[in-house]
Amino acid sequence: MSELDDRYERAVAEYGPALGRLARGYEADSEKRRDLLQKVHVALWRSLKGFDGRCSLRTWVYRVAHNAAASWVIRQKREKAVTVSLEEMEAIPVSHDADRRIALDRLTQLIQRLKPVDRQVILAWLEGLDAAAISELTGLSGRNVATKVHRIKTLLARSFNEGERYAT
Amino acid sequence: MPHDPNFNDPRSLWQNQENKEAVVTLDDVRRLAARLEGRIYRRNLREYAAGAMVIPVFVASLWHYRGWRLAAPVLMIAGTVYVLFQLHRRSSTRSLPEDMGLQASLNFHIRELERQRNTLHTVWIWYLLPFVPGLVAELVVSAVDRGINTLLILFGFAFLVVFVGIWGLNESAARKLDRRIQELREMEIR
Repeated sequence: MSELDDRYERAVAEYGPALGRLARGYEADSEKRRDLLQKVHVALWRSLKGFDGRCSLRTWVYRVAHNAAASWVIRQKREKAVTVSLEEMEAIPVSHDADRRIALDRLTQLIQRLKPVDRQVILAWLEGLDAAAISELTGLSGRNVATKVHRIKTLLARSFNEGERYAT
Repeated sequence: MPHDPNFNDPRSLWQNQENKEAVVTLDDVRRLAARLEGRIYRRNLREYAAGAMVIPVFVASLWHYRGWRLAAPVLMIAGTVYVLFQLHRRSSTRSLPEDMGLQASLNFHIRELERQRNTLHTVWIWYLLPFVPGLVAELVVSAVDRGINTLLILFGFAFLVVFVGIWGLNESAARKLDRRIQELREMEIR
């Protein structure tokens, strides 16, 4: 196995499941999602030739994955069709379903309707990245990330009826 | 599910979702990378074949022209070759850059939109202008040989409308992208 293959295997062992979830956040159609995921993996495999430790492997993997997925969105010309910003999403009324499947579907639909930059922030936040890591991943200013994360928490609190935990 | 998540906690719900599609093996990746290269190769072949079919039509017409009149088909051939080359160069199926891991996603997104905006913004240079010398030469040949008549004027006017229309639609799309790029830039510095 080459050094490149070895790097790829290590990256996928650690972040493979997150890449699958990321694809779910970008593509609703299951067949297209499989295509997107494969493109993300190929982009990651090819990119790792240039990985020189200037940033962490996690940042590298997420950047490549989000960039490949954003490129996919642009090329599928979805962006202008149905996406909304976090600010616009806050104005949409929500229902409160208790079922886990419905809750996950609702969360996924919410993510898929966001504009690419807001989608990147919410996906990174859901994966457990903190504001500094999201800023490094996206290139957004720290203040902007803080505002967006606050909006995400408010939005999710409304959606999941967990106001006390997420709105603060 | 790996374990029972608290489905009122979005992070737990998200991270513990069933994820069967996530398995992509190294063999899959190698095979897909090879298939992608093959697709790009076949696309190039198709574009060259399209050029190879269009150009002979103009080349065949060379036999109908004499002297300075040859300028019309020669300029059309040159214009077509240039536009085909530009379409190939700007093709949307190009590979993703390998340095993506060094580019923050907002920056990458802006670069992608700028690339599309620039393609639309310069469409008159690389897509419309190359055909103008050949078409003008064709109009001049027709005017000299058959005189300026209503058909010629309508022909010239139709080309003008089509060219201005294509330019206008592309400019409008470029302006929309400009606004989106500006919004993204503001996010970088705000």
